[in-house]
Amino acid sequence: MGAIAGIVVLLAGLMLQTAVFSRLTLMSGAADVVLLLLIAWAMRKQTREWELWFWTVFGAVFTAFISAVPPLITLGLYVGIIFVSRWMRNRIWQGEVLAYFFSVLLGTVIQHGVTFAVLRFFSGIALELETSVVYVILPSLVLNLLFAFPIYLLMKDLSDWIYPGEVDSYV
Amino acid sequence: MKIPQLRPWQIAVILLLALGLIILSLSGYLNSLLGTATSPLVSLQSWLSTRYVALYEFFTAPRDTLALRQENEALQSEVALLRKQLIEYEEQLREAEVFYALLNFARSKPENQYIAASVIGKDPSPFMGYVILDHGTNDGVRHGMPVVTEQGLVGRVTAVTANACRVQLVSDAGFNANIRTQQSLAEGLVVGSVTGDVTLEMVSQDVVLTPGELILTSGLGGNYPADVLIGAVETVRKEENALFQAASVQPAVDFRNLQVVLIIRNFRPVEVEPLIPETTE
Repeated sequence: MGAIAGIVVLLAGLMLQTAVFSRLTLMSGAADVVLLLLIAWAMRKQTREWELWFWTVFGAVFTAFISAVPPLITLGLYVGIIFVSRWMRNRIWQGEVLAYFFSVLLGTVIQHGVTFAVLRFFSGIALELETSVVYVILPSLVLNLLFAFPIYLLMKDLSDWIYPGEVDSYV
Repeated sequence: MKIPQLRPWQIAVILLLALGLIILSLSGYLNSLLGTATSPLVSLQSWLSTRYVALYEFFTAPRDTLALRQENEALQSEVALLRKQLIEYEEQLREAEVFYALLNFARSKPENQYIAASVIGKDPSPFMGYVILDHGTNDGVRHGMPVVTEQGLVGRVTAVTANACRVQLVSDAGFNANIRTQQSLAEGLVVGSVTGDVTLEMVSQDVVLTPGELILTSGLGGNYPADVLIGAVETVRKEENALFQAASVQPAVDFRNLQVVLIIRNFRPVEVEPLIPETTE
């Protein structure tokens, strides 16, 4: 059930991302709805490990298929960010929302930082660090944090719907 | 019941009284007297009538309200439907205007064959200035085909699937194209940036660039057909010690509001890489 829901949610998220959220820019930054969905799903206590990694790989592969960023970078970034998010969720805090927001913050910085480095140093695109930070990375971070909470609530409801007997007491 | 028998003189008196009263009434002498006498009756009549109307409305009004509500709802739904239709017609009109402009553009360049495609998405990464179109190899789209609108160059196809393709925009940070300016005939390179700004670079210091001068593709490099408008020179940056001068460019196309584009299907990009000599270490 979780895997099927994952396919539907991620496909819907990806369509929304390319059609709406990528055009909804702050300076040159944009939110990454797929990443927010994945991190929110990773925060849920009820989430099965295999389901989470299925969601992650599925979301990463489809995003890589659409995006012009090198596919392996996209895949590696999504897997890495979800790994870090899950680790933080399990080891550092018992507060799910706090861990979620910190994961979004860290995940966005990692994602854009690595993308910048790859494009700058391996793809040979002339990107300036200051311009990228001011016009892309920070605005994207703001947008991700802005959309983080609604997406978290959405995923919490979805999780409670899929696993009705396992409602947690964190929030 | 015994009817009283009136005498003739009594009848005559009654008739005279009645006649007198009628005459007095018709002549208006009895108005004040009649007004005083009938006023309480009129008030009573009025009171009764008001109460009756109130009672009548009390019993009949709910039915009228219900009918009015139903009618109101029906009218509201009709208004909503008409508004929706109006929005659809406006949208169709806007699309038709775009298509008409594209058609005019295509007719003005009969040497090119075009595939019209709609923009259905944008690259998820904010670092990449790419858009996704709804046409792919099934429609004849191939890698490297230039994409234009009636305003000018949009970019080129960099990836294709059966039913969709990805286009690198002129404003993408990795974009570059050889150009020439229309007036000064200067050659240079147009490059995009991560912020979406477009810049003209590698222009010789000898050339005098003027703001407003049009920038066209030169065709050099084989990636784009010649003489496609890219934009206009905005501000010139010329430093004495620099090898080249540069200028910011106002793109002809508004990349934020791209809806429909034309893919030039009969242009085949030239593969120049085999001609570039390999560097030996």
